[in-house]
Amino acid sequence: MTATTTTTTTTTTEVPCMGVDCPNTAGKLECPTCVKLGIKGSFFCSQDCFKRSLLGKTHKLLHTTAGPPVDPSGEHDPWPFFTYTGSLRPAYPLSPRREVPESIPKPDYWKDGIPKSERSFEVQRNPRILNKQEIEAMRVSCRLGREVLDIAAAAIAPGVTTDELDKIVHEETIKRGAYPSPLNYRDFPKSVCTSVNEVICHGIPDQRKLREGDIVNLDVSLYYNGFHADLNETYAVGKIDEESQHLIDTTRKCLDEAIAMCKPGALFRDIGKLIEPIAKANGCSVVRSYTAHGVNQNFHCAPTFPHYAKNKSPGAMKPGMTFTIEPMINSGVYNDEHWPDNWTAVTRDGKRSAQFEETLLVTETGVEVLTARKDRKRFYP
Amino acid sequence: MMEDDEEIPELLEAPTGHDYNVRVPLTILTGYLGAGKTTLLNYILTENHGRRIAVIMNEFADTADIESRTINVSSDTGLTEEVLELANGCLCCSVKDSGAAAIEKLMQKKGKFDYILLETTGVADPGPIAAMFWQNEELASDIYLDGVVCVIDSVFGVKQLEERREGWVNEGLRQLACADVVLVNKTDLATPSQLTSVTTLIAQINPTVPHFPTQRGMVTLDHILGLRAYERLSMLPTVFTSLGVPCEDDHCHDASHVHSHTSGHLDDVSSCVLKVPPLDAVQLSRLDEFIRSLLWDNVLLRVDAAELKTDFEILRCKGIFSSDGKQFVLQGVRNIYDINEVNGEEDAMANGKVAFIGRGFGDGRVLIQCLQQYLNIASP
Repeated sequence: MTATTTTTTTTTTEVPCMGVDCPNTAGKLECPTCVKLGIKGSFFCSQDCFKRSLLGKTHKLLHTTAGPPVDPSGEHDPWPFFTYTGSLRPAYPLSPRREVPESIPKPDYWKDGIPKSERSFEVQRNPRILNKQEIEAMRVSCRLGREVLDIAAAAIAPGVTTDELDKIVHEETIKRGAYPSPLNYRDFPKSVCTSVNEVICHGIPDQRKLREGDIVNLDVSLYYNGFHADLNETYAVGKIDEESQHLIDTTRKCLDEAIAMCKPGALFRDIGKLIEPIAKANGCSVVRSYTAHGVNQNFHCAPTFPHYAKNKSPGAMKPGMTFTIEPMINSGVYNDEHWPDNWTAVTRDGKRSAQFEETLLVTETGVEVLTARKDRKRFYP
Repeated sequence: MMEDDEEIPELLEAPTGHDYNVRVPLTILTGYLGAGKTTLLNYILTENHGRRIAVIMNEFADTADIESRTINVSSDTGLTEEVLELANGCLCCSVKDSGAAAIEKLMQKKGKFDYILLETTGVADPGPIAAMFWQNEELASDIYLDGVVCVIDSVFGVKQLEERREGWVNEGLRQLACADVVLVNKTDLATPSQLTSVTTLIAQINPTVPHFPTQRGMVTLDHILGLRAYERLSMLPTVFTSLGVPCEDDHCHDASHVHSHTSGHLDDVSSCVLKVPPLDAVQLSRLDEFIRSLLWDNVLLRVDAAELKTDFEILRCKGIFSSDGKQFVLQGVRNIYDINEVNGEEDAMANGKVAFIGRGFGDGRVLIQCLQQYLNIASP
């Protein structure tokens, strides 16, 4: 448990310098390329010694042996020296970037990855109140988002790769005249987030085949007619163990109860106060680093509020606001770490994590689940 | 992989085995241009041999817009410049601000700092930055806000704080309003009367703040670092002792509060205080309701009249009061606030206090009266 949290404490006095024929002990200076590749212990006594080793190519050999794929199929772990928290490994290479037809209207970040409109203080601070037309547009986007998620979810089976799920999401999205919101959002490379087992969120679809007993979260977002929809669910791949099922059930319960408390005047900070006790009572923990968020013309905007109890988030719900609730619940500790791709968030202890998300609209009397599945409750109370 | 003609990268300094669970305190250093912030910084750095102190220079005011910035990391081995990088994983649907996330990432890469000093520009308002770091603490952040230190020039301080120009906001007032401790610097250059005027003015604008006279920034570091100003109760009793002075306004006959005036303009920074007797559960929840309405929506709740929309700007609020035999502390900066139960102090206060510092409420009479009535506290 928590193997990676202690990896940084090398007693530097006993480490010899990696430099060729260098008699010195190394200080605290480490090769940056090795750090990036996850190769441990590449300490040098000085910049000079390091330079000689690189120019003489001896040290560089270490970098190249870490690099190229060895599997004849071309599949490989891009960071073989990285200390993973659990048993899941990425399976690279990623498929080429998928194209979106020119005719489809795109959000402002589609080309350079920078969501410019989201970055204003106003957008991040004050939740928008949508008018009737805007609400109708949100309804349409969210209905499309639900359709896409359900289609992709139906394809989940042992042997299917997350990249194949990405292809389905991408094609079903553009077929509907919509843009897959994750694609190139802050340089995210794919059209959906696929988070398997210990991945909390933002997993990147790759060549790994789903296995019997896995759990996988599909987080679908799309942009249609100027409005984003955002929803996700966690699914079982084949038959899963009891603990995983319990985790999934607990997470769904957290979301459902949180939705039921939404109405004008309800406080955003109270969502977490309701969710955390449910998670705890079920032996689970609530992820802290990721939050719920407003969603409308912007993918991520005010209000942002967490899913854990003790929080200072300002603001009360008002009719016309649209936002997500998306608790990430862990079987073990709440802490998260990131893979070197800077996206994939995993549990620090490698235990499993589940998540459910819906896009909600505050109505005059309660809340409407804009992304509700057909067989689930849409209006509260 | 690297080519021969490519530059040889700089070696990285490995993390030095600090406990991951130790959070790093961050102190915001504010004050007018020329008040002596840099002198104080240098003093702290030389006084603190062996500690790794990261000094982040200014321009954090608009943190939402940071893409890549540099910061200076000072330790006893010298000053280095580091580039702050953004981590995608920390940004997307995370309230963790890009600035805080970038500092954390740098610490992961370069080893933890023992302390972070954030020096704002002389014209910056530290409020939003303080609020940002304070709110970020919840996110299992590696950094916590320790406090805001304001340096004021004892010779020119009064002139600077009293300066008014049409359509211009005197940030010096906001800096003082937001401060958890004030250094009255350059006392060796000031006349006794200058010293008295500046300390009187400080007490008027921010009656809750302790202040220390200094020369060339030399101060016992315990007075300014490691305050835990946002979580510790021990700050508050000393803070409120200066509030025993009743209102000096001849027109005001309400002994339940004290308030102060700056130079009479309504848009000036001023403060007001309400004495709060032990509250019952209903009053406690009404206090919370009143404060959130005021801080989030700028609306004064009234019992016998419609809600009152205001254009107040509450920069800071603090309070200590009891309810049901328990003691509570209120802390607020801008629209972020927290009411927490605290334990410890033996002499449970029979009379609590709630203080507001901000702009636009003048002598604060309306605010205080509304709160008093909303809590159903009898006027003496």
